[in-house]
Amino acid sequence: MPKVTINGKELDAPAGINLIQAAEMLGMEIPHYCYHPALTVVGNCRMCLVEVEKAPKLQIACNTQVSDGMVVHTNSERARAAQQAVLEFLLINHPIDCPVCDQAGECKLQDYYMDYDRQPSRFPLGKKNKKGKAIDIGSDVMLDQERCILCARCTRFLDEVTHTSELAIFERGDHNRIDTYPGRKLNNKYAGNIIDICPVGALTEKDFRFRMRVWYMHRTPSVCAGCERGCAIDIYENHGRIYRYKPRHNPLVNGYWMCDEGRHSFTNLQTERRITRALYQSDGRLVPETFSAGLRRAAGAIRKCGEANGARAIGALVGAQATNEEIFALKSFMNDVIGSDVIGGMSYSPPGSSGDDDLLIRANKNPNTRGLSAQGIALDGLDTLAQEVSSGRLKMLIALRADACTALGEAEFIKRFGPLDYLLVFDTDVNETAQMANQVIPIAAYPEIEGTFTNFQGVVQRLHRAFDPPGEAKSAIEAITDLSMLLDGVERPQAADRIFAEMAAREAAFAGLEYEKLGHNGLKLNV
Amino acid sequence: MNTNGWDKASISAIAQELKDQPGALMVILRRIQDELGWIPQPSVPLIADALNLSRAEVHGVISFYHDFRDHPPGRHVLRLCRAESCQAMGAVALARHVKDRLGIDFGQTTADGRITLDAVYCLGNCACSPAITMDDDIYGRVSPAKIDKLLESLE
Ligand code: SF4
Ligand code: SF4
Ligand code: FES
Ligand code: FES
Repeated sequence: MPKVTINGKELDAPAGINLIQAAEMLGMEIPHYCYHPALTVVGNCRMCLVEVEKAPKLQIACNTQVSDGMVVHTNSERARAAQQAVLEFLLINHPIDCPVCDQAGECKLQDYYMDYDRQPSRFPLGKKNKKGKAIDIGSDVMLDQERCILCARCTRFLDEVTHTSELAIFERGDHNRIDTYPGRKLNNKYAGNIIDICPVGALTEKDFRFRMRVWYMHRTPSVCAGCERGCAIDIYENHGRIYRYKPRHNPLVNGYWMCDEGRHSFTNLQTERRITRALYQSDGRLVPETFSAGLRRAAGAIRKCGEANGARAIGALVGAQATNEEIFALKSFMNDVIGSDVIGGMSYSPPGSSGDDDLLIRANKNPNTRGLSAQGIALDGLDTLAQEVSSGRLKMLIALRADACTALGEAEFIKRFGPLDYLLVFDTDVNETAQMANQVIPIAAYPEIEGTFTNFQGVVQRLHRAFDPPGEAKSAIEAITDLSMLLDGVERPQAADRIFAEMAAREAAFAGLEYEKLGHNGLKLNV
Repeated sequence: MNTNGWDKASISAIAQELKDQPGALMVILRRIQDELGWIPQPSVPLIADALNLSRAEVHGVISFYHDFRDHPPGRHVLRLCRAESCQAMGAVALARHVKDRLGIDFGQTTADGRITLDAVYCLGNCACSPAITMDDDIYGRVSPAKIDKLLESLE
């Protein structure tokens, strides 16, 4: 391993890495704009100039590989002079519209100005080059050519990752600008990523523009539930309202990226359809009541059905939107509290949704299908449970995040499950199935809970609670354990880590996994 | 040269003929400009298809080089150097003279379609400043009188 020294600190660096990466391993940042670890190195911004001993000129760190005995200074007088000069160049024509720029607060131009420049401008505002502002370039991306520093990250992403090359740099010199070909727009399913990698406010998100200042938002690591890939994300939220998702680097799952559909999927969680109180069916209408009244009513129905028809007359249907812990809690509830092993799973993707592609998107639009199977729950629950109903054995169904009615269509749902005496639904929304239910218990959506999803590759990743569920809704696990408490008086753990530990002890696929060790990237299942 | 007439078939033919050459994009663009005197915008998709590039990439290259034209030029192109050495040797006055005489500004073509006037920045002929080119020929130590004679000699 080559030994390099950066600012007096020594590092045994892996061969082949560049100086930006080596500095990072030492906990130091070499300022950079155009370099991005997932894109080719172009060395065009010159922000990363450093002094390498024995080299006559300053070197760009992004394109300098470590070699044995290399001694690097990022803070020397020459290096700092270069950093300041580069920033002055970059700012010559910059409009400095930070007060109305969405990027303010997470802008590398602002950050580096404060860290490396801090000199008043020698270029009067009135002399700045005028270019296009607020240009809608499609796919929810807005372009401001004046703010662009021409680092070419966006064009490289579109050339190298999506291979669509919709953007290019036109003209030259001072007239250089990023743009689409006249009359054309961005046209790929991953365009939002260029907003994330743009180091300045030249590319902003149309939906997010002017909605929220970045410093007012809290960031919570989580997982996208848009498909079975389960891209690692950060949820940005303020007072229980999500403003954006951004991809979180996870080499096991999504690298640095996420798809546009997933990026915007949080809007589905913040609709009028969210359930905030328990609901019971009365004269064909859903009537709200308190959460605990709803649970008491549900417990009464379970007791009655069990006494009249036996425990196996009660079955459960669980959707692949549920977390591993929720699935386990429901399974334990059915086995240990009710005494029934009638459990089916479902994993439904709406027709017309995007199919598998060669980057991230998966045709299966459920985040936890693999987790369901890993706990031995078959995915043909809509068929097997329907047979139980038609044979007259099954009288009551408990559906957890399982919108069977939407999956089957209303007529088919009524044909299959109409004969049930009682339908108990745990869900976040008044979906089609909830509308048919005798009793609906409101539960938290995935940004509102702790837990894990298992993606299609078998990577188990953690979700974190970004904020509280709306109204009286509780996490599905709390709802289920509260219900079991009403039925048998036994207190059961509700914390995701406790349930995970039990699951790891009882489900072979999860054996050996520890909740706390899942870390940021998650761990793979054993099978 | 300098024909405004062009058709998609001949541009496609050029693109197909040259697409496997090293640096094919520049080779194709130069050939089109040589044959037509300009690069009509509808040729961009044809070139992009032939080279498996995006339209944006092709447009990026065309717009980078000021010599590539997106409008047809006049029958003759007069390029007048405005860079340091020529300025020092009277290019400013020369430019004023030419503009007055032709009644056009830089980047424009005379109404009769005879001459397009372009500004360039150093022709590498500084020793003989002020310098101009008329079509493919370079002239040094150009005075207003010399340029008048040259202009008169053109059809
Ligand atoms: S738009 Fe952003 S990412 Fe693209 S070149 Fe400009 S600064 Fe870089
Ligand atoms: S690929 Fe799937 S998991 Fe990733 S962002 Fe898109 S929808 Fe979400
Ligand atoms: S990061 Fe090295 S030149 Fe841009
Ligand atoms: S400055 Fe005019 S030819 Fe060089």
